[in-house]
Amino acid sequence: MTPPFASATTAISRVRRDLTIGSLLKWLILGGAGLVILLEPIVQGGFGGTFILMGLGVVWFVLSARSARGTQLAVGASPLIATGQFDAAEVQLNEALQSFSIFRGAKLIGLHHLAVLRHAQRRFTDAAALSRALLTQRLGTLESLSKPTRLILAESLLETDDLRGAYEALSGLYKMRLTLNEAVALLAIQTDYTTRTGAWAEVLSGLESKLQLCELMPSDRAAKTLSCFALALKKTGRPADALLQQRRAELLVAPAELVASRPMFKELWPDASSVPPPSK
Amino acid sequence: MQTPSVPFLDVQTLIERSHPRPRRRVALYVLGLAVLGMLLGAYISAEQPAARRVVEGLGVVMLVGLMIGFMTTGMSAVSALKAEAKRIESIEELVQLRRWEQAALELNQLLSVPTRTPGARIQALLYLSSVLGRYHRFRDAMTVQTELLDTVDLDPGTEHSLKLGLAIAMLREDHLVDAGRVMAELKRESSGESGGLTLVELYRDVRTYHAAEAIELFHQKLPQLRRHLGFRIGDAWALLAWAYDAMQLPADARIAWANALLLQPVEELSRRYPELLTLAQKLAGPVYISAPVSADVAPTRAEGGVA
Repeated sequence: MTPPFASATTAISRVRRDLTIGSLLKWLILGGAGLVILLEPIVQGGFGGTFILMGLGVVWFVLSARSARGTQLAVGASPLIATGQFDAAEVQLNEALQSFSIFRGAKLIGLHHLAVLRHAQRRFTDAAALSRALLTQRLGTLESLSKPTRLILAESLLETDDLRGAYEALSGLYKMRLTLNEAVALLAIQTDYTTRTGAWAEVLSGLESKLQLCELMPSDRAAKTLSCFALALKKTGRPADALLQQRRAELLVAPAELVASRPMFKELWPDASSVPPPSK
Repeated sequence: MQTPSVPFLDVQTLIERSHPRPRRRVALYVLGLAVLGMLLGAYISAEQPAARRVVEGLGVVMLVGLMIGFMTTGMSAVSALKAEAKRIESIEELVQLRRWEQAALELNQLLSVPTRTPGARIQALLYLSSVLGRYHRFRDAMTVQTELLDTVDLDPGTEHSLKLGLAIAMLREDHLVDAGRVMAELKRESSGESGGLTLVELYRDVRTYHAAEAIELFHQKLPQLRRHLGFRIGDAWALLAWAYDAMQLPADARIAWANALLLQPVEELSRRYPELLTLAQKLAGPVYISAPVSADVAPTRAEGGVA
């Protein structure tokens, strides 16, 4: 078994190196094949071009098969992460990222899933670094990865208190067409961001539709977002509405957990004892 | 393409007609014809040297035509696949947003003809079972769920959700023994760590008038319900309110009902659980927010509340 990546930096440099070698090799094979096709009719008596072409074909086929295996491993990590099997996902992604691939796709998908894994493990610094590294790459046909990656980046930066970085990641998303699930995730991150910057009017704009979207979130995310609304309502002099959202939030997650995750919620639950949130 | 007329959401027809067509090997036939053409060209060239230039010209035209043909076919196949995936995605969003009518129309149309991929068919059938549940067509929902469970190798998460839906449908149809069997399977597979299963168990207790057990289960599994159900924990509060009411604990029932209504609209609750209709009428009126807010929002059980 290959040893796991010690840090995000190691994984990123490994992926970058593999991408360079992979594309170099790909162009060498294609260039070689092109040269053989061009030169074979010119050279007197030929030079066994057919055999060289066949050899290059076999090499291409073998490398493609290896790349496909890498992609399969990377994609297979997704359900493992979703079901909380982080160790198994780690092993699988490790194998995917350390195996050689001639195509960029396998490496980029692997890097994306590693960012998802680190985010799920609440290793936000690593998740942010991996997401940033992925977004600097030319994604091509994998452009669809950019939206979830930006969402992970924005949330991870918020968790590490980098509000400016989170704003930059979020602003890129406003120009994109999002699916419902992505819009829901964006709402949670955006509300967290605007609450932390004290932009109460922004938090409360379009509150009714935001509350509807909130109902599609998982418990912890919904509770955090409702608490942000409650705080904004309290700050803007609407205590009854604030209490309503506060009550809804505490039905979803225990107040102590909410206060532990965001100390600013202490204003809503001054008596909630701060206990660390359960590890995911 | 004209969609053949299908009675609205006729489950059997939709299940049968939605099977993806086996791939036609058109490309192989075309390639075979091309090889035949090349052999014929070589034969003609050998027999009639004068026609050689014409044959070579035709050969080039044929090769270019083949390349363009394969590229166009490939591109149109990819765009058709993308369009189907987009349709499935939009149906998923309609179901999430509870736009049942639109979702039903889309599903009826999509499943009336063979889908392009087996994956799209499976997803569409999963959404169909939700829509059928919404329209209280539980027998039909069970048919779809059983079809998927029997014929498709699903990932564990999807299988779990599907079995939860099946158990609910069975309870609604009073197939209590079958529901019990499915719930036992779910319990074994999830090692008891499923908020969805707890909700189904609560409903079974309500359905079979085991109010005390429902109260006991709710309090025992509240942290799990909170973790797993999101806003659907409102359903659990509503079922708890029913149980308290059945146990003649009106104050507790009122608190639990108020909590339920903070998370779910009364219409949705009564639609999902017809047993709650009487309670909804009984407790109709403005919802009061209890204050002060404590860390544990569960109402304390009155003495003798749990058998």
